[in-house]
Amino acid sequence: MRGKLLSVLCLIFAAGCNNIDSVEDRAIVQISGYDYIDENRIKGTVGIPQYGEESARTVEELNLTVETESLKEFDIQIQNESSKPLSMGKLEVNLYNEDLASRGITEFMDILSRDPRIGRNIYLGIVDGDTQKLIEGEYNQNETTAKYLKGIIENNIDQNLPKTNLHYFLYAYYADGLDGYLPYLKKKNSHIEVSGISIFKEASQVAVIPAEDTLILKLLKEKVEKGSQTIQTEDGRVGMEITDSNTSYQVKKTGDVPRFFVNITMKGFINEMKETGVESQKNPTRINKLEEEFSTYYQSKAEEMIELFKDNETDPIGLGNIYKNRMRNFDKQVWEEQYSEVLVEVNVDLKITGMGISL
Amino acid sequence: MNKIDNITSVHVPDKFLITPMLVFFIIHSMQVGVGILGFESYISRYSGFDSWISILISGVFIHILLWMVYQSLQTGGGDIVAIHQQCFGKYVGGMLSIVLSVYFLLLALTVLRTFIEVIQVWMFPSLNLKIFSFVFLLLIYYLVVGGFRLVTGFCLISVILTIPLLLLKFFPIMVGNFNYLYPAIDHTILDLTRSTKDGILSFLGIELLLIFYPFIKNPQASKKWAHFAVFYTVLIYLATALTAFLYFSEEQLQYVTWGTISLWKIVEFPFIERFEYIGIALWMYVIVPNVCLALWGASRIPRRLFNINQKITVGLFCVALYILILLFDDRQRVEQLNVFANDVGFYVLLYIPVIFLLSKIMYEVRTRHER
Repeated sequence: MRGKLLSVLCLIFAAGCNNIDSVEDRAIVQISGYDYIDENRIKGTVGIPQYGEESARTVEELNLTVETESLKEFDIQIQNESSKPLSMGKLEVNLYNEDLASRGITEFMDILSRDPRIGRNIYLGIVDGDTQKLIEGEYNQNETTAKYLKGIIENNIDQNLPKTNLHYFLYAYYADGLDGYLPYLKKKNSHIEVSGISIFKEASQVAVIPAEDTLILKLLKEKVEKGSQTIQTEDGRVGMEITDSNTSYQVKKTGDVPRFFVNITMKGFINEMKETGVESQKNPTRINKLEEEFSTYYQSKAEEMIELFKDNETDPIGLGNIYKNRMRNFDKQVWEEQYSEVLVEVNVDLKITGMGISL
Repeated sequence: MNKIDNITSVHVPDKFLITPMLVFFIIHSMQVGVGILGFESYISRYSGFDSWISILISGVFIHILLWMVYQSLQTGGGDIVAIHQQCFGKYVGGMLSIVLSVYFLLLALTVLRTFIEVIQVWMFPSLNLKIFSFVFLLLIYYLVVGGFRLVTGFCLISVILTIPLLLLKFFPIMVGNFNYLYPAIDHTILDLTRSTKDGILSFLGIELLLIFYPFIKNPQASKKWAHFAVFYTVLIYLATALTAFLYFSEEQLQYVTWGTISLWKIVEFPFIERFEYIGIALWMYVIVPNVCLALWGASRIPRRLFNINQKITVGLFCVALYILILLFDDRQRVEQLNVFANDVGFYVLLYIPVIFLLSKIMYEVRTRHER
């Protein structure tokens, strides 16, 4: 009995013999970014929040930058520069500059997908310009760049930006007949904006969609519950907010090349209209006309975008994946040859449910 | 006649018996082990997203085998050792029983080593294998020596504790894309069979019934619980696989070693950023009874054959496991061990119909003889 008690006590005390790592003693990397210098060298920057005294209530950020020839070396060098051991577990944003992205980020994807410490909810982004400057910029006294950037991306996902994070990108990166996309970020004086979406083919950026068209890609990819778009109509600019949308894909195979039918149904209301003449607004034909104008706009934009994808041989919508999952005997090579000839018919069914609370 | 009676009467005292319902927990916790943590990429290697069918095939296969096990145990009387002796005689039968014992030891080794590998990869890369496995085996020794009823109790706890983990499938399902998962069956029967064979490790466990059958109070009543257990296992695997297929793309899955743990990565609560750490720690409750059952099965056979005190064999097997764990010291070998255990398990399952037929024939011959 005494022996058992003793051994239990031993275990309890032995458990306390471990080294304790307190949060203050570690450098927690929240944001990291890479820049292209030349063929052999990259420049990496990390942002580490420094929590000062309680009374000051400000967050300072320590930025470390090193230039290395390989990613392996980057890890070692940045450890050398840091006074505390680095931990990557809280990484929230990972950035690449455009030059690097257009040359391919295969190596980075391999590291991110392999490391168990990296979460799947982190955001990736492509920077128009210098990543180091973007990370080092001071935007808000109360939050770190990482938190600020994360907020911007999350807020945009609620609006016009299609869902994106490391998981979505990896999903598309590995899949046959599906390519990834990442938010395209730009530093503008003292703030950062999402200035579009950069479209990838495998691991290299091939095209950028401007900010005003991001909603189109979101409509093609997923359900939209809060998107807004302004278009130029015959009589002035009209803004519309989408409250609900649904997209379905159909594949028909007649002959060699498959045909796709994309049906987008959406509901929305008008929230901005520069027009006078109250009489005409009440008129139901006016709404019908607007519905038609918006439908044609979305349809032509979507078809235009798909053409752009075809020209760049990239497939962010995943037409290939849909085809593969629904038809038997999918051949990747044949599909890739066919892709530029594939017919995609977009059909938009739009309903305007309201015009706001004023006439 | 005398001779047969002598072996058949596997008498287990009343106080060691378990109620039939507990068979559900034993079978289920023996089946679910480390396999479920990474079986998605194994089964989808040959048949891609169609491999959910292979889970159903395995399920049906296991149900039939379970029925056979019950049939042969009823007519054979007692356990596998008795059946072996009746069919093959004292020496050959004894040899076969020992092979089965080694097989259970192999299962215990595979589960334990693979789980330690998971801990090493996901949580503590610098884990001290020697100390950790020593402490782990000490715990397992303590539980197994405590007897079959104690292990059964642990199984019950393990099954109940891990039910909430199933709710976490909600997170990856929310992320998943339903547009890309359509049941266009694109693979041949051959591909599906290969998938079935590759994934069979996750379904192993019903063979244990061959040993613990005499411990069930009312064996007839336990039948339905055993079948429920297999059914429940199949349902869980199906749910797990389909969630993984939603969450990962078909090609991506081939790059994922531990599909189910990777699924926990996306789970995020306000108070915990990385759920996989809790998931893996909780999985300890699944691994411990699993290893205990296998070790109990392995040590029960020598006791039946040679009448050695079971405590001694458990101790010996623990030492053997310890040495073997230290031998498998890298990912490559653990992988090979898994593949090997999977193959052996497949043939052990194929051996069940053989026992079934033999015991049926023996029974027929014996009753005719008596008449």
